[in-house]
Amino acid sequence: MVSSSTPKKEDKLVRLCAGVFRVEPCELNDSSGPGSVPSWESLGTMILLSAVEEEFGVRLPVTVAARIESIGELRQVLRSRGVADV
Amino acid sequence: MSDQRQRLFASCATLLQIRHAWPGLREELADLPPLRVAIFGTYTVDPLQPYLGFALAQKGFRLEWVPVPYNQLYQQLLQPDSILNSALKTEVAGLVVLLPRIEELLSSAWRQLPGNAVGAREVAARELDNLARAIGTFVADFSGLLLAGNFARPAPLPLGLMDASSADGGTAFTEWINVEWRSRLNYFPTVRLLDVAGLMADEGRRAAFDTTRWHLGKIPFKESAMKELAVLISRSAAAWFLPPKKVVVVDCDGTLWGGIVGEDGVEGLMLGDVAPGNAYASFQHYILGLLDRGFLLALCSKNNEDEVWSVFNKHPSMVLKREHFAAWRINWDAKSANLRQIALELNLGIDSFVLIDDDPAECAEVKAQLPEVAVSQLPEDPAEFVETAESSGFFDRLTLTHEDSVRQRHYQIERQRTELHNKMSAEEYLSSLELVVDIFTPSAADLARVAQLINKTNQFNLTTLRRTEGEVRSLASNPACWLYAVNVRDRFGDYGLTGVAIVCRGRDHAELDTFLLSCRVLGRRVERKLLAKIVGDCRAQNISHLRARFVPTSKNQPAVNFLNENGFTDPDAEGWQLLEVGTHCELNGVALGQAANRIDA
Repeated sequence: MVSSSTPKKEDKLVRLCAGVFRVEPCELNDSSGPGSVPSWESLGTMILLSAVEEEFGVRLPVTVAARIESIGELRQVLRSRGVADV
Repeated sequence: MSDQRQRLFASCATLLQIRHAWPGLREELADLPPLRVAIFGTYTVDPLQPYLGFALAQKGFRLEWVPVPYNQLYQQLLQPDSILNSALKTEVAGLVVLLPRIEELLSSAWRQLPGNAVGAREVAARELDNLARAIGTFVADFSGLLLAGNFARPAPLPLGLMDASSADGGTAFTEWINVEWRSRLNYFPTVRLLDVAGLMADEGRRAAFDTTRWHLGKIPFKESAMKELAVLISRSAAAWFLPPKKVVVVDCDGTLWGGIVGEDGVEGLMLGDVAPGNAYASFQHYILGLLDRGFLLALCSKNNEDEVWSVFNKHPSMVLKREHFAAWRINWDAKSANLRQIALELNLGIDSFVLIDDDPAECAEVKAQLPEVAVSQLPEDPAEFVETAESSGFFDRLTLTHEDSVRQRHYQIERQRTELHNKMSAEEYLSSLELVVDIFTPSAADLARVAQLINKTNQFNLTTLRRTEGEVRSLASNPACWLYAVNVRDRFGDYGLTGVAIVCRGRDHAELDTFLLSCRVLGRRVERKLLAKIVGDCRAQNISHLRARFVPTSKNQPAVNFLNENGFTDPDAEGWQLLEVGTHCELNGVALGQAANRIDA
């Protein structure tokens, strides 16, 4: 899968996702989502959101959380909510 | 214990560390005796696994986790070939944990409070009887331990601030349920209560208590809890001494549903069984509950009136109906002007009005123009709407309305515990459900939910073909494809749209492209009814046979035997299985093409 913006090696969000979904960071990019990451299912999303809250201090409303389909979308959402270093 | 294991345990100080360590920990524990654990409840229990595995390891056990599908209490306990019956009745030590909640198991009883507290207890007693009997059937030949959770008090409470004072409230109901549940389970020597209610209360206590302050100065609570206690007292005082609010005016877009009806259309709104629409549905249930607490409801929305009513008339998930509202103003005028008009129409003082609205600008306009109106501004997250509205205090009352008080009566608990040891069979259970299955062609408004099911259903899914909503919409307009949607309800409530099938027809045969049921309705023979309907339609179209194949995934084991058990031939080299449509006038007791929607077990 080709990513519009290939994440840097030290990308914090990708590292967080890799930890949650138990894959290598290099296997993930901004277009990774439930369709391409096998362990990214509804429970995985829930754990990801808890991890995001712990890491970035941002709690996403259900209207936003239910619609995140990729790491890139999550990144956009976090940026729009004032997380600068993501 | 080995040093290495000690170090491993010591390295798991946080929740995250435990979660990450657990998959690797399993191999480290190979020498420990296994404990096979099946936990099943009316809610998702999967997050327990790493913590339980870790906690059991510290006690010297190796967890063998048996995944059990969610919300299948009776099927798992009663069906001889269920996961529970096959995996737990072996030589390995077994622990079964049953975790029910009032919110799901007793939802229909809870919703009858406070107006029909007697009826609510009758419904609940019947459910507890059934569940206790099913437990009795299961433990009769089970050598391990069964832990059954008791019931924590749900929120919000049906009578709000005065709930604890009333015999008809949710507080009294929860206390009663726990007494009844304990007395039913005490009958069984290998069953114990798991004090889930106590645990949840202790979690709250930990947040509120401060033992140091107690010993230093006889102050049991933290400052934060003292402040909350003060707020509770002030709310009670206000409810007693100030004139009560009487009218609740609600906004529509962003409040009763997500989205904007004028832009998104009825089908595009967020409202329904799944997130985020379920948060709006919960809020509608809360607003409906205010009607039972004696409030009048009114609508005030900046919209075209016919578009708002089209949501009320056409959206399948609307909880609130037009008849629940005493008045409405749906137009483009200022909300303050509309509220004044509603007050005139209802002949009630504007100072008895509460506006609930998600739009800060509308709230500010009303506050500026009508400072006597109470305004509850909703937060961004609809999951927090109920809590925000209830904690506003605007709906607090300490006396019952006249209608409520005449309903109030002394309640004599009618015990219905008849022969707990009378075993209940799976057949008896199914017939006691009074199941109604509606199979229909999904309307345009249903297609978003249909697409959601297609993309989310993992267990009972014959082919697990995923499709976007756009693809589903184009299939729906293709005359060579038949779409089926299934609605299931029983005497406890409505499961909503929980099944989908797609059949593609060729010249003389048809193909079962998609066939799936939500896990919420598994084990109720809904699948046979759906297949029977499809076969009936094939026959009506002179189609000679139906072909299908089971495409295995890591999760769709529940569907593996479906074709074989329902008259399909064995798979050919490519996996196709055939059903001669003409020769089957009956499938497993469900007659084809019958009009009645009731399944006789």
